Amino acid sequence: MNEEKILRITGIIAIILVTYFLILTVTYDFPTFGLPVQRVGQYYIENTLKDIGAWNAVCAIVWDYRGYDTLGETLVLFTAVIVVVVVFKVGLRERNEYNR
Amino acid sequence: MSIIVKTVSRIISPLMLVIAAYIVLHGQVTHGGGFQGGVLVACAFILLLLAFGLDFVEEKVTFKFGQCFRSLGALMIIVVAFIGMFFGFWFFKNVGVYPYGFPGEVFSAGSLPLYNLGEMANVSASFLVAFYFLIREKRRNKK
Repeated sequence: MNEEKILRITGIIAIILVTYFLILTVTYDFPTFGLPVQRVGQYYIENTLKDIGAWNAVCAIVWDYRGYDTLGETLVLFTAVIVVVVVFKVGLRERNEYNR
Repeated sequence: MSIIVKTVSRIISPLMLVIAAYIVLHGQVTHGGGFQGGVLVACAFILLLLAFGLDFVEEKVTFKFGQCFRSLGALMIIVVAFIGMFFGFWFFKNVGVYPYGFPGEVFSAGSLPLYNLGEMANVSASFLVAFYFLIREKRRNKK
């Protein structure tokens, strides 16, 4: 019983230490706190015309660099309107009004 | 609605459709894009709906047509995104298959105009269908 407890506490401390050093290795690469993060924005501004060939950088970011995000957003809107139709069609069916 | 509202909305809504077409087709050149143009198309029909009543607009743009139109819009985005895979690019890669290069022209930026068209179809018909149902629900509660 006692040995088990010691083993457990040792394991917990080991996990905490490993996580601490992993987080340290990641935060080493972070920008300084308070400074604006400009790497991605600078890359987009400089390379949009070369990569995509569109003048509108917002459109290029939305549909190419962040394409999956916009695809999901479109499908969320699609599903939301399906839900609206499903919810409000119940009352129309009772009054036989839904397929005119 | 009064005759002033009817006349003004009759004049304005075609102009709104023209501006929406401009915004959608020039989405990769100037400001705007599929979502903004689609909302403007939906607003043109909603203006007619508020001025002339629900039945007037629903004869022109039926519920089934709206559903088909917005499903085709969502399908078009996915199909256009998939076509690049058959030519050696990855999913949502837009260079090479469609007209590319010539920055500043309408048919220039790969598949971005096609994405904008699909988004316009999806958004406009979605808002219109949702608006039909909300208006009907309000009418039903009033009775």
